Amino acid sequence: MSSGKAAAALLGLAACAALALVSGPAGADPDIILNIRLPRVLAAALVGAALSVAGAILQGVLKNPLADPYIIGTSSGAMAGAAGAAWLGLGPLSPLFYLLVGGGGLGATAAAYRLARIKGRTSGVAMLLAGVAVSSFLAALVMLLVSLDRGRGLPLLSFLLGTVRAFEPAALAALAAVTLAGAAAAALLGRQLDILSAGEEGATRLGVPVERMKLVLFSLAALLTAAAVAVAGAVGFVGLIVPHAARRLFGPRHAGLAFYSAVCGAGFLMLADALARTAAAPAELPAGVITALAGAPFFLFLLRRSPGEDRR
Amino acid sequence: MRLLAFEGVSFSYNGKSAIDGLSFSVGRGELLSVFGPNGSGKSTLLRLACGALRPGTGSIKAGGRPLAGLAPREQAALAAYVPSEPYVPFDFTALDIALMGRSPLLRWWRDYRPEDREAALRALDACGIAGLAGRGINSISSGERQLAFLAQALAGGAPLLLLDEPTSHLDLKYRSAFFGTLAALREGGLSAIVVSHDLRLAAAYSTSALVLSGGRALFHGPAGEALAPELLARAYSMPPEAAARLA
Repeated sequence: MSSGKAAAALLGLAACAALALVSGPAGADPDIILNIRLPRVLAAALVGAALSVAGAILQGVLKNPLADPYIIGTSSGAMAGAAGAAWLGLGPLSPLFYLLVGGGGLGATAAAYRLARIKGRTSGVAMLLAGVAVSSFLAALVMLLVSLDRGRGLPLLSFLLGTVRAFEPAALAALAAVTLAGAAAAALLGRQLDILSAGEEGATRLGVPVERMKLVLFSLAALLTAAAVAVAGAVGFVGLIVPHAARRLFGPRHAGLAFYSAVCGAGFLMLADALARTAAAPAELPAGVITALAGAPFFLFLLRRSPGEDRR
Repeated sequence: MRLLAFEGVSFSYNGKSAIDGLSFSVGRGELLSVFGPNGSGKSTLLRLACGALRPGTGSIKAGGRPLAGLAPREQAALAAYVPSEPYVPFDFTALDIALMGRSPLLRWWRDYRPEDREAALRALDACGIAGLAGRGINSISSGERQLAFLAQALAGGAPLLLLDEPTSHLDLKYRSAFFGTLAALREGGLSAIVVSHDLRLAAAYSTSALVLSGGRALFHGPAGEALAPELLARAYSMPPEAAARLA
């Protein structure tokens, strides 16, 4: 990881933050910037970083460039937790809401992991398939709840689309702690993640405790994703495209990739959220809609532009 | 010195015998080819040799000590593995791939040290691809990629290489280049067990050969003698005249 590239990435992050802070229907009023926009911009940055690091980890462990934080069931589990909370009349102001969302996300991931485990081994393909099955089941459950309860369905729908909201400082602090710790852990395990991503057969022979490492990395990704979902709902595409872009720009080694994914993800979601606030003001768009609208074409552009990886 | 010794080793998958009472050993500077039809136990033999499988009966000793009693790190220090057709979804450089071979020497949180980098570069050089160190592993030819994985195995400094059909997907030029590199490494004192379907090429570069059939050794001796048509006909269950044309 060269210090020049790191400095450039951080500079870009600062520029994104400045842009996100001054943009909004109310203009550049210092009061609004400090009290209203700053917490929201901070939340967007943390959510973007958490999802991107989770994506980088999962793409590495599953050896699949198309993996994202939602594919192993975490997001559907968290959604089901949120839907359950809404059913009980609990909103984002209650600590129980976060407990249900986090528990749902981790529970669903654990279920996918357990289902994919055959004879003490969890193959990447089995984990993907189990994740998709768990995801679909829980997503259907959420839709069932939304249709049965039209009255509470609408706020739940905006959560499903991914919206950075105003938050509890405690939730924000928890997200910050999870994001920083998660990114640091991923960077520390970078060498092992490199080896895993280059083939499981070889990894055992290179002294990597494959099954233990997978358990740690899946837990890490699930924790990061659940924390992000609790604050912003299901913001799609960030965890898929940001690690890709970071890998293209800064190389595939995971120690650096964890850092650069966090930085790029934070910048990307700050900008997407700023656009969500301003594009149709005074109405607000879900940030998840912006990330998908901007992300999908960008993703295709990246795929078509550079040869080499992903093309076999 | 016996780097690796199988003593009456048997192994079965769910009651289906794969290796049956196999004994052989590999010494320093020995290049052992393993031949035999599909399902004759060649891959199982390699998996047993690198500790990925434990023998049902009999024992495997590495450097005079029971393989089963060694930590993964110690096993990796004794024998390094070269996969058949490595697929890497991300575009690591050839140097990154070679560096991974240094991993068993490091504690889990450590990054590679300058001496690891030097060892990886030396390994790439020994494989004749020092000039590709900075190139992406998916932007070089499959023959060069296979050599990068050979460099990975070399970089860790293990005295024994275990190769699973390393040339099966390469063209003639790279097949012969790969075996040439192996032979040069052998002259430098390295040992290797090579599972191969390239009978003639492998035999030409090997010092000894082991022919398997149904998990048993049909032959273990000088590489040249392993190509006898009657032997191959028996091993591969085919007419001797067909075997004579093949070998």
